[in-house]
Amino acid sequence: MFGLQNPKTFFNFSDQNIFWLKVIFFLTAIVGLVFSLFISPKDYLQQDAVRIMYVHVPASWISLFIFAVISFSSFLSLIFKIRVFSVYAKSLAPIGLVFAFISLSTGSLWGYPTWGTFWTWDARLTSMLILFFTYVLYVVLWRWIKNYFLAEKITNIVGIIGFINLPIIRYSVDWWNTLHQPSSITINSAPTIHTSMLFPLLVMFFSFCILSLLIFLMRYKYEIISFRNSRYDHRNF
Amino acid sequence: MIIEIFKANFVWFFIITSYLITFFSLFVLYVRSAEKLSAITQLEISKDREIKRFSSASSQEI
Repeated sequence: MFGLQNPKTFFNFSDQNIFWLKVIFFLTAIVGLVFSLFISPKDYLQQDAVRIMYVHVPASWISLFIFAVISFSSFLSLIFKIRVFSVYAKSLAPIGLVFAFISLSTGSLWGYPTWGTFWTWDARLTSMLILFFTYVLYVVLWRWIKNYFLAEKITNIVGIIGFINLPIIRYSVDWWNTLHQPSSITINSAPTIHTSMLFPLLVMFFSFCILSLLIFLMRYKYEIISFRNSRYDHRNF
Repeated sequence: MIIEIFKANFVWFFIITSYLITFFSLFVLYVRSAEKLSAITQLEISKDREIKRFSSASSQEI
């Protein structure tokens, strides 16, 4: 499938581009931070508290996107028995877990000055918490189950079942009456936030995407090498 | 006095904490991933060296 199952393609890509990815990340992170903390305007209602949005929203988007990729990879791995897809999923899971944690913690810190509470059992918050626990389960299963094939099968099933939660998170604000505000940016319609706020949001999102790619390349290389070692040295797969 | 400063900058306390949590978590993830990769790469290199040493030693013996 487009040469994706060949780890050599990834190794070459990471060896050639890892330095430039670091440079792009640092530059975009600095621009993003300056704009989100100092240049972007205050919200007329939330005042400065709106600045938390620039880390909260990109983290939520990335954690959702990564889980969608994990689900798709798990499906391909389970149905077509293409092992490399489960390695993608395994390498991506800790990144998604950290972004889900960031989304929940920053959301909670944003909630206090705007809603007056750190937490409420609202549909969006609860479904996001379920996603976080799904990530935890996924990562923990890989660690706990020593038999590689069994761990692969079970985590693939978790990845596929966990996909059910993604549309629930996305549409929870439309389906139920929630304290969480509806989406300001959707694929189908024009964004409802001003460009002065949209720009830092997209820069931070891009910056986090680059960092995710950077970490993914490192973890993927690690997983491939450790898989190869275990396969040829210990025969415990 | 500290309480007054906190009250005056109450929102900024939450903003800074959010950014610190975000960048610290990502930094820890990055460092752990880099450490894992570096450890396994070092192991690979030392393994290669061992194999080379072993093969050259056995060829000399032969």
